[in-house]
Amino acid sequence: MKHTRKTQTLQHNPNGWPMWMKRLLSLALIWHLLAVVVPPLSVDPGGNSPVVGAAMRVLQWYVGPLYLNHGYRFFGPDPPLVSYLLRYEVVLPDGRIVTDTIPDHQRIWPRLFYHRHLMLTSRLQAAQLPPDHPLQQAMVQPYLASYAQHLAWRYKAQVVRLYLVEHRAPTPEEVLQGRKLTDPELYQSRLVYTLEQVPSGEPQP
Amino acid sequence: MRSYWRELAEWLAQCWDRFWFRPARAETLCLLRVLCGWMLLYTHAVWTLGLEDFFGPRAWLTAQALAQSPESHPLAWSWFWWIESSKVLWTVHLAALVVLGLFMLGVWTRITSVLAFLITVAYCHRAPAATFGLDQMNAMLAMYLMLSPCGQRYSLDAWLARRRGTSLREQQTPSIWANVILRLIQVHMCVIYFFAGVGKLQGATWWDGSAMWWAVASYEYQSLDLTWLAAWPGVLALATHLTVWWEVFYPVLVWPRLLRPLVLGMAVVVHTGIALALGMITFGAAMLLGNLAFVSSQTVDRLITGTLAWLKRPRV
Repeated sequence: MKHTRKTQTLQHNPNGWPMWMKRLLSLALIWHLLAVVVPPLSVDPGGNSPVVGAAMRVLQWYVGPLYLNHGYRFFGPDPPLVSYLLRYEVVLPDGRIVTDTIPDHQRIWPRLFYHRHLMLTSRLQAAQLPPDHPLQQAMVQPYLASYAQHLAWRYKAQVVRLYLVEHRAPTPEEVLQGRKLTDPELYQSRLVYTLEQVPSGEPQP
Repeated sequence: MRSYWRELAEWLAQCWDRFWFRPARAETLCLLRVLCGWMLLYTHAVWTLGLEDFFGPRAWLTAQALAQSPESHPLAWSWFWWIESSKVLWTVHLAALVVLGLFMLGVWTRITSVLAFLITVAYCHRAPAATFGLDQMNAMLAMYLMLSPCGQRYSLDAWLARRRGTSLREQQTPSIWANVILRLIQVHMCVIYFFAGVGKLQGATWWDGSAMWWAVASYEYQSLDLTWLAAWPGVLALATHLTVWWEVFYPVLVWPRLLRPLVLGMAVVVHTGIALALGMITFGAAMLLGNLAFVSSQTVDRLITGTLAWLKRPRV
């Protein structure tokens, strides 16, 4: 009897997979496909949907470890009209001051490594948000503090000052009138963070 | 009415069965392993230049800074969270590079493919603020390849098996599992393009046709000066609209056999353009690797066999 049932199953599935296996795999596929589709739906403005929010809560133990939680908004909603750079000024123990700006594609090579630094500074875009915006507390201030601590460690510096540099892209009309992409007038810089090391070595923002 | 629902259900079940459970050959996955393995090896080799700056305990972003960040997931595991010593960090990194090299060459592929995925995700989770689309593609491809028979061909595993005369028949036998994995990559690519497209529809510049200009005029991205296009606003607008339409409709247009070469050809144009003009060679290449999943194993096999035959031809 068992033999007959198996023969029938194989006849029904000439590819050799029994129906129960296909059904089981189909369930797993549906689950995985949900985990692929829901995270990009949850990126703003989709994050406000109660359905997507509930689905994300169910799926997050799966999408997080597998690194599936992405929005895939490449150059969206708009390409960068303004680029964000980080200029830093570190005071060395002997009093000398070192300044540098990241990323710098003349100096940071290969291009992928330059791009890693560009990503670090592009995260500071949120510094433009109002001071009471949640991202200021969750992202901008902790990131600035961390960048400053890293520089203090790297240079063994006592003081680190971070300047956010906004580089506006020129319009086509400006370029046609002869303006270069690196025209100094397109850059704006402001101090956004200062770290001073107290004698105990503890950083003081 | 009831018969309609029954007929619909049967039709959907048949479509589902045909789509996922038809056997396929594995050559495309095997070529993907070689190319994706190279990309993973290069991507991680570049980290060597700033290993302690990005993964050390005093990295640009410390664990403390990432703790509350929306970029970090509560389950973003990584062995870097526990590495305090510089020596251990370098040892782990060099071991990872060796594993990725073995994966690319197809050595112990069953094991190295799993390790390649774990390595990729461990790096991404530790340095989320330095990652971008390239890393998402790397992890996605590594995840699916880990589950696939990607060591069956073009690998040292296969070469050794051939020398032993053991598994030649298995290498050429189509399998359902190879098809399932190829389908997963294909569907995932459709999801990526669709959301890349609809995400752009939220931005004014993709509607008014100026987006391509802002991409070209971003000095930080620029690797090829195309600002002379300022005199050609129509060309910029056309390129802008074509990009959005192509991305939004990719999930539909890539499936019909006759349209597929056009859609994939557009992918080559778009991603080569991004690679050359916006300096994102690795990202452009990774996206093209994802598109490779739509090229049949027969075509891949013909291409590689033909290339090898051409290389081995007697020279006068």
